[in-house]
Amino acid sequence: MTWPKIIRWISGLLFLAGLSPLLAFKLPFPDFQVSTWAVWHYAVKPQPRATSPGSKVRMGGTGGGIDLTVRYFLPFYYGPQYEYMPVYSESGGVNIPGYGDVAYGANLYAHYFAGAIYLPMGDWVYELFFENQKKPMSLFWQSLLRSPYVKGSYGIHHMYVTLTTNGDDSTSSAARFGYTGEAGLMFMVFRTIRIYGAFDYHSIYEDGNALVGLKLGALYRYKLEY
Amino acid sequence: MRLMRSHGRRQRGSLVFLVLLLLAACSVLTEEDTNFGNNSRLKDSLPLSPAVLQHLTGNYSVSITGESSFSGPVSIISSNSRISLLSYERETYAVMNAGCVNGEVIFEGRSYDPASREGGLVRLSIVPGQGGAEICAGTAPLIPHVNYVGVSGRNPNALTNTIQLSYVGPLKPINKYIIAHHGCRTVDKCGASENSLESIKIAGNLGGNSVEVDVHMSKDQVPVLYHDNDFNSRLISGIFCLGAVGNYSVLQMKVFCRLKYGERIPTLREALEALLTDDTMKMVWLDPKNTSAIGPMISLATEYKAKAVALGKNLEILIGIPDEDYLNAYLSTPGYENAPCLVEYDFHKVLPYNCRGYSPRFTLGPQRQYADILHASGKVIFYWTVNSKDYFDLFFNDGAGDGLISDRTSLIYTKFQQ
Repeated sequence: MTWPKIIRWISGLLFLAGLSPLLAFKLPFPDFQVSTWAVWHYAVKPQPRATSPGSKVRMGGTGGGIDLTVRYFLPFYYGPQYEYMPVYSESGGVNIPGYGDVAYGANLYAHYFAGAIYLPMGDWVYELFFENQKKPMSLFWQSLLRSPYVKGSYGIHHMYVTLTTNGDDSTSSAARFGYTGEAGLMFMVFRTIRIYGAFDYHSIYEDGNALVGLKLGALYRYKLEY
Repeated sequence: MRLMRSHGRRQRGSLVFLVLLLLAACSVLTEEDTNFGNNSRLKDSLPLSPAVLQHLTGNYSVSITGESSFSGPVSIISSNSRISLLSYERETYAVMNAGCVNGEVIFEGRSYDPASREGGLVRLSIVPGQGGAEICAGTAPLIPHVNYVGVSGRNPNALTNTIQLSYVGPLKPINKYIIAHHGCRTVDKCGASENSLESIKIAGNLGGNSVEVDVHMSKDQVPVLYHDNDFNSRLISGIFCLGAVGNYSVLQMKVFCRLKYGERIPTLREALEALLTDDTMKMVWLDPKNTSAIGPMISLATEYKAKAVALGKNLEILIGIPDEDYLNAYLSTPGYENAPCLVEYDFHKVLPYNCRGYSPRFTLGPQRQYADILHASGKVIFYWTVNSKDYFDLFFNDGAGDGLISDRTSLIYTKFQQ
């Protein structure tokens, strides 16, 4: 056995020995949860300037996303998330001096990649005051009590726009930082399954825009135990 | 239980953290809107001709009460049917529209203090007994030179600071090139977006007699005025404008994109057309942002130089050459000799290619040895971008510079009036 191999073995043993106190001190194993949702953004703030007064406008739209978060060491769930979101679209006609009447259409959407945190406020209250009661709380009341939560995320939007003027198509894209904040209620329907509804505020702050909307989702939570 | 309490403390800490985060996210910045709005006295005024406005220019001394952005000697200049008040000492300026109301000449506009980045309002007038009635009637005032009285402040309902301007002498002619950087800069809140037609007009109001603009190419190969390589919220307000400038046709830019003050992105042709009718401007420096822009720029420069000559206007149109790639593109364009170049990176390229001059970055210093050689060959040397008045003497006197690019053209102008 060569010295590098010996050192690697010793390092491995030290690593395992270092982990053992985690068990000895009964530190919790992580909770995992995966969530998926549909979101309906019904407004863009501030409302974008219409290209022409009579144009047909769609604010926001229906999107969706998924995240995978873990609760470990820190008291909240954290992890990566992805969301697809239409942002704004418009079509109509406008007169541009020197160019005449122009028929146009445009659509802006984004793929959002972010780091997310859930603050399970209802769970906290339950864990702090009710979990260890002699008489366990019924699932109905537990579901109700544990439902409030808030979530935030910070990440980058990959923005895509498609444009048409008088039949001439173009596409463009750019990356923009942004954040989200949502507050809602998440009800347990089984031990591991929850469904939730929330109010969502989604800021693409680098462009000075934000979307507001409503969200419906389902969450699967798995608690590792020993 | 102890473990749970420990978790509880963490939970409460996290909650406080998130509440603070949300509060910070929800805070909004507001910006003061400085205009007269319904309090304007110019609403029903009669306009004044450029010739009359020219008669009202000069160097003035200021006396003030209260807090004013103006002090020391100031210059009043006229350009594009507007009057400007420029202060060297305070580095402030005001650009005002003019009109006549009942025999009184009224000037109203925004003032701006670049040091504090604060704006304000200024209203000046020439009252009937001080020549206002004659000016409004279109005749020469009975007194040889007019004096101004006025007010300033930040709230249009409470302009509490008074200003009096007393005539000192006429404006001194300036033969140097005072080159306005992008017309004027959006971040300076000059009242227009940089690289817009309005900013080129404002450049004259701020003492510039030349302008430097940036040229990009659209997807359909039309040269347009824009600085950055991509559309972003620093310069653009249209929600559909993002990504590379070259992704958009010029029509798509016109339809979907607005500059920060609401202007549409101008084409180079529109800018040159505007410069033909601007009597203040004697030179435009076209700074290409893409080598593919060089050919169309040369073509337009040649066309508009001919138009200027036909109109009897002496307008120089120079093509900036920032590096070797641009020089190669310039030299490979047929007819490049008709559109003089301005070499920004290497003095030694100026004379062999018969460029109009050399335009180094100011951080390289005055390079007096080059200036003398250039002047002996009838060439010029400009420096970019000089904003501090501490450097004006260095480049104009020690460097024998022929011009400076600046975001503070009003300072250079008033420096020459001292």
